[in-house]
Amino acid sequence: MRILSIDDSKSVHAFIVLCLENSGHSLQLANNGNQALEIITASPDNFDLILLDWEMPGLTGPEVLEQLMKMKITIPVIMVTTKNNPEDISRVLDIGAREYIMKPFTKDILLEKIQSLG
Amino acid sequence: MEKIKTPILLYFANLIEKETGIIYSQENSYQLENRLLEICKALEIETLENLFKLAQDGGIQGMKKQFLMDVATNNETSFFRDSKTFKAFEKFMVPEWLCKKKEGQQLRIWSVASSFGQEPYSLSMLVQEMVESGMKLNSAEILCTDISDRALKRVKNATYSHLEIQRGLPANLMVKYFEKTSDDSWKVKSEITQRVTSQPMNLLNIYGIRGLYDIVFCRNVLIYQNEEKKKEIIENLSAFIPSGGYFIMGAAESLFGLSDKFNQVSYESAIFYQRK
Repeated sequence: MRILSIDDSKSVHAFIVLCLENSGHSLQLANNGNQALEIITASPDNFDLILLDWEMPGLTGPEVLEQLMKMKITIPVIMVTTKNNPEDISRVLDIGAREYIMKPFTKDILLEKIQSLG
Repeated sequence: MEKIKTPILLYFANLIEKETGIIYSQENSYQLENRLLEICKALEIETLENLFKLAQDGGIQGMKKQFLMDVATNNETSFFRDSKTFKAFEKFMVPEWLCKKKEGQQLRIWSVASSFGQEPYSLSMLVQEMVESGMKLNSAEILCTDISDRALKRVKNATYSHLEIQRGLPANLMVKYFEKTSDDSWKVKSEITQRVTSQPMNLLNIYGIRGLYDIVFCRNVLIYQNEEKKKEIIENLSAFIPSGGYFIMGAAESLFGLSDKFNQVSYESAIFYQRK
């Protein structure tokens, strides 16, 4: 799958890069929501899946998700965040996120969630 | 068994043994090291030395401690493990049972070696989803058995760690059927636990089972037995499966050469067995 990961944390991105090494998936990184929306709107057909952090400078994850929904961009989104309250999880699932990963996570969890949307 | 030589690894080995009873020795210390390095990366801790310092300073508590235990002990159990089997259960076995059932008959399911409960609770969630979609399954019963008291205690507690809850369970079912506890664990709601009962069971000496079970899950149980014992266990279990009932094994297992009391059935890519 062609995956776009949106997260402001370099260490999270380093871990995701490591997890996806030799997995057959390709990965592009964005450090914030605005940058991600530019990348996606420029070429929405370039991605099969989005990994989206919640708390970032500028646009938050849910705000990015709302923008994607408004633009009728149908790339599946997996939220990847430290937020682990059922209310928060339900909220983003209601907005349109397809799956949810709570940090910290393992390589197995990331790969399984990606595969479940494949 | 040789004691681990590296002081940092020995510290974590002792901690894991104290918490879980799982023993790491010098021979498999490299596995422990690899798993600790994975924990460092996932927790954004730069080095093993820093993880060691954090643990010594009491900084590995609650969810972080459970995370460490789960990864270090390589807890592989997951919800909806081998998803095609659950799809066959939902789309083929249960609908077929519904067509054949007698008036007032209850669907009876047996999870033979239920381990920590992920299999019976996955089945109960699916049954609940089917009930909500209009199927008349209101009185389904799921029995789970295991030889291990520790495993059955986990089934009864019905509580899963931050990491366990993320293995195989779709997020929508997680928020629907689990509630978060104060220590960042997740507890199965009573609407799912209420149709699940558990009891200890040695498959070579089955007793205390009443009646027949329409669908029997016996996945990745027999792989630890020799051929003679496999045949004996299957013979024992087949006495509790009615004609037309289903017997389900693990994805890498087969009844071939072990019993002539079943026909092989497949649904999409799932393979299972029907009692003659």
